[in-house]
Amino acid sequence: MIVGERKPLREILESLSPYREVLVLGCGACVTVCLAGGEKEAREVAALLRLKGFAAEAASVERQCEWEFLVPLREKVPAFQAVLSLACGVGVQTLSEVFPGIPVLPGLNTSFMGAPLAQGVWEERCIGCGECIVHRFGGICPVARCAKNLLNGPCGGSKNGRCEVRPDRDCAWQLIYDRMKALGRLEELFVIQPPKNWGPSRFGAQRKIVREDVRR
Amino acid sequence: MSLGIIGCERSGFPALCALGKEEPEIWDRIVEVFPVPCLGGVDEETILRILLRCDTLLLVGCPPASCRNAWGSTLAEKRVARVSQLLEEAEIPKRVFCVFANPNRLGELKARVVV
Ligand code: SF4
Ligand code: SF4
Repeated sequence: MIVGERKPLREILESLSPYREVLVLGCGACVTVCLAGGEKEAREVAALLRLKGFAAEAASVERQCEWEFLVPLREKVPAFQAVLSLACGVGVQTLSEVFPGIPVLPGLNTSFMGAPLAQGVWEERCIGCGECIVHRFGGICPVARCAKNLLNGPCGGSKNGRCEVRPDRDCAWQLIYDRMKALGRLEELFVIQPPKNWGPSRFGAQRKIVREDVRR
Repeated sequence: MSLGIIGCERSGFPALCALGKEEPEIWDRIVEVFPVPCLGGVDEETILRILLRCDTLLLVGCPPASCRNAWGSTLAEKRVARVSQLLEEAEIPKRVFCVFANPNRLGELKARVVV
């Protein structure tokens, strides 16, 4: 899932300062699950904005990142001077594309792709590198979880299973070692991994997938 | 300073009524009163909505150790702490507090309501 955090209210208020009538729009997918931008949070932010003197209303859609779900807002959105989107950056941009005449402001910082570990705790798991190699490491991604992105780890600095860069984080390579050991595949870690192909990653141009078989 | 009150039907609301009998002038300050089955069901948005119509909001409920629904008052304390943080972050000069009271234990409520 995509994990995000609400922007500081001061930043939100600053970006909304030219407007008075504001729609706060939540999204019912990832940001609802990470308790940052669902309907509940949209209602809260709208209530806070009303206390600050805005004519704010809250609404939410199933998924802001797909234009089909935005169509029912066709009449609602133009009644406001601006929309504060509590979706991830994809939702914010889809909303701007569907309503080009209305300023759409981001209310969240989109943080990472990750998993919930416990109530109120989320951790990064994948950077969307475009060529998944996680099977070589017992299902633990060194690209996203090792601070140095080492494919031939560990770096030698981990202590008590913790990363030397962020001692409050697990060393990904300790986890890889433990998992490979449990799987009886330790010798595979002696194989030198070739440099990763970063071509399909986000470091080139914007990525796009076209599926001719399902296109209309 | 205008006052809003959300009181649980088990303890908070009866406590408010008992205090109102003792000190009838408190009703002059109280602009909103909402009896609810349990404070644990009051969410942040409800608190913020009521704050639009008063300066200070009190959530009055059972003392946590004798809460009728075990966790109602504890949950209310957590939500009040969160709303207080949001108000501070947004620099909104409104206040919200949890008060634990019942008709036999009016001290804390009295201290907040009687000026
Ligand atoms: S290898 Fe790439 S795609 Fe696979 S989990 Fe890691 S970052 Fe994500
Ligand atoms: S301590 Fe572990 S996770 Fe941290 S940089 Fe070194 S190998 Fe990577």
